[in-house]
Amino acid sequence: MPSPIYSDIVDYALDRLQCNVVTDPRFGTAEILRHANQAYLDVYEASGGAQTAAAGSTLWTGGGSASGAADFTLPGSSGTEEIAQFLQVWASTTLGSTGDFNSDIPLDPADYEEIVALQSLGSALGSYAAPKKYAVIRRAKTVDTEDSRYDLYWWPSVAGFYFPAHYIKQFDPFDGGATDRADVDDIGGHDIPLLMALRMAPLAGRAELVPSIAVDLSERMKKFLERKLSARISASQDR
Amino acid sequence: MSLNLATIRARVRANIRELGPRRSTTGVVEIDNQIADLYLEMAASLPPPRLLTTGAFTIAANARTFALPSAGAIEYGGMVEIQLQSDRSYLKRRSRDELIGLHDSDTSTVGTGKPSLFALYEDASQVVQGLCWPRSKDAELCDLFAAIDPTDIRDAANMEAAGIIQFSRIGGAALVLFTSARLVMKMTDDDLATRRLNRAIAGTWEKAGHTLLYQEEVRRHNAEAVGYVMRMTP
Repeated sequence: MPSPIYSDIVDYALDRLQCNVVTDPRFGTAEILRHANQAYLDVYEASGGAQTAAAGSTLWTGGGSASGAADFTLPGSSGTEEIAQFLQVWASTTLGSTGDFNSDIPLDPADYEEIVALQSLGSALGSYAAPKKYAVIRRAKTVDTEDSRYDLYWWPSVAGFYFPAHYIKQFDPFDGGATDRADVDDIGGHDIPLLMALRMAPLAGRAELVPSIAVDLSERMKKFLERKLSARISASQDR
Repeated sequence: MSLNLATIRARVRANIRELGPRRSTTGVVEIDNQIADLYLEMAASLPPPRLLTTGAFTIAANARTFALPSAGAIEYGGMVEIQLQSDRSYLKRRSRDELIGLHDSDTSTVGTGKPSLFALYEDASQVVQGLCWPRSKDAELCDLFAAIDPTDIRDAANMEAAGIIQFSRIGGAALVLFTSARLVMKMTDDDLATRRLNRAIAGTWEKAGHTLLYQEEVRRHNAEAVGYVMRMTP
């Protein structure tokens, strides 16, 4: 079951608050969107995000094979800047590959300083005809448009490869579109309107509804919220 | 059958349970360098493979010295046979002292016949130099049959080139086991826990590796053995 669309999430949250009305609504559209995104963020944080695949030509500037340069830069303007964590990077000779070709070479992740050390050692530890290791570092932004940019370094510095990757995206909030869909699983999608309603109930003067809403949260979300609360109160988390 | 580095590495990675690069606590560089070290270590206890090269080098006209081919940083394992292409005669190997004795007081710089004796020594840059007797009258193209020591695979332009590890499948299996064992011995308890691996397996792998290495020695010996103790015929 796919996660519900934004309009269904809002409808269900307002239903639980018994204020799903057109005339004199208690919450404005923008306010509802902010609450929805806060609830979505909680669920996304608990679920950890999903794996996304992208071709090297999509991910990195240059849009293709290396021309001998030792690093590629992730562009910050096409939506690909929303990367939280790289899971796997490949070296591929195929333009559109997303790491799914047999000939694609899975690269070992390495710290940036290891890449630098290997490059400075030259061929002392052997020579290869294809990249073997990579490091992705987040670049300090010098202007606002460079937010969330990444640089890719690989070793050995061999030209002629694309670098497709699988990664976890950063949180991408609802934009308010009716058919916008949360990037979480079915249970997470079920929890979003309930979490919304939990936060909005006192604001609507209906705090008495909180227990009945909370009881419908998934067991996973209850456990997550207990841990989060425990961490805030005592700065400790059960393991 | 020669083996590729990638094949050996893949089998090592399967043994030490790090087929997923993100679970790696070693990595491709450390694994490959361990393979390279152990390849040399194992080769040191095995008879070096022999290689026949036709027209490998030329003894120049009027020369009494020559050098064995050294391209590719080749290093020789001791056994050397030289055959002249002109009359298919083999040069007999003698000590350098004997060759010097034959050349003693010889002031001529002109060759008078075909070389029949030779002596070898290795210079400081591992190039094998030769001395022959008598001086060669004509330029003599020579076939060379020699034992070649294994190369350090790290010296290759591409470590992953086909057939770079010159072991049989038995030797290759031993190399996989020795490498796996050595890597496991270096791991901390945390590394082993990440891989769900028991340190005790290293001893088993080493023991199995020695069995295979012994078999590789026997196999190479049997390839040349004639079933009786050979006598040197001068």
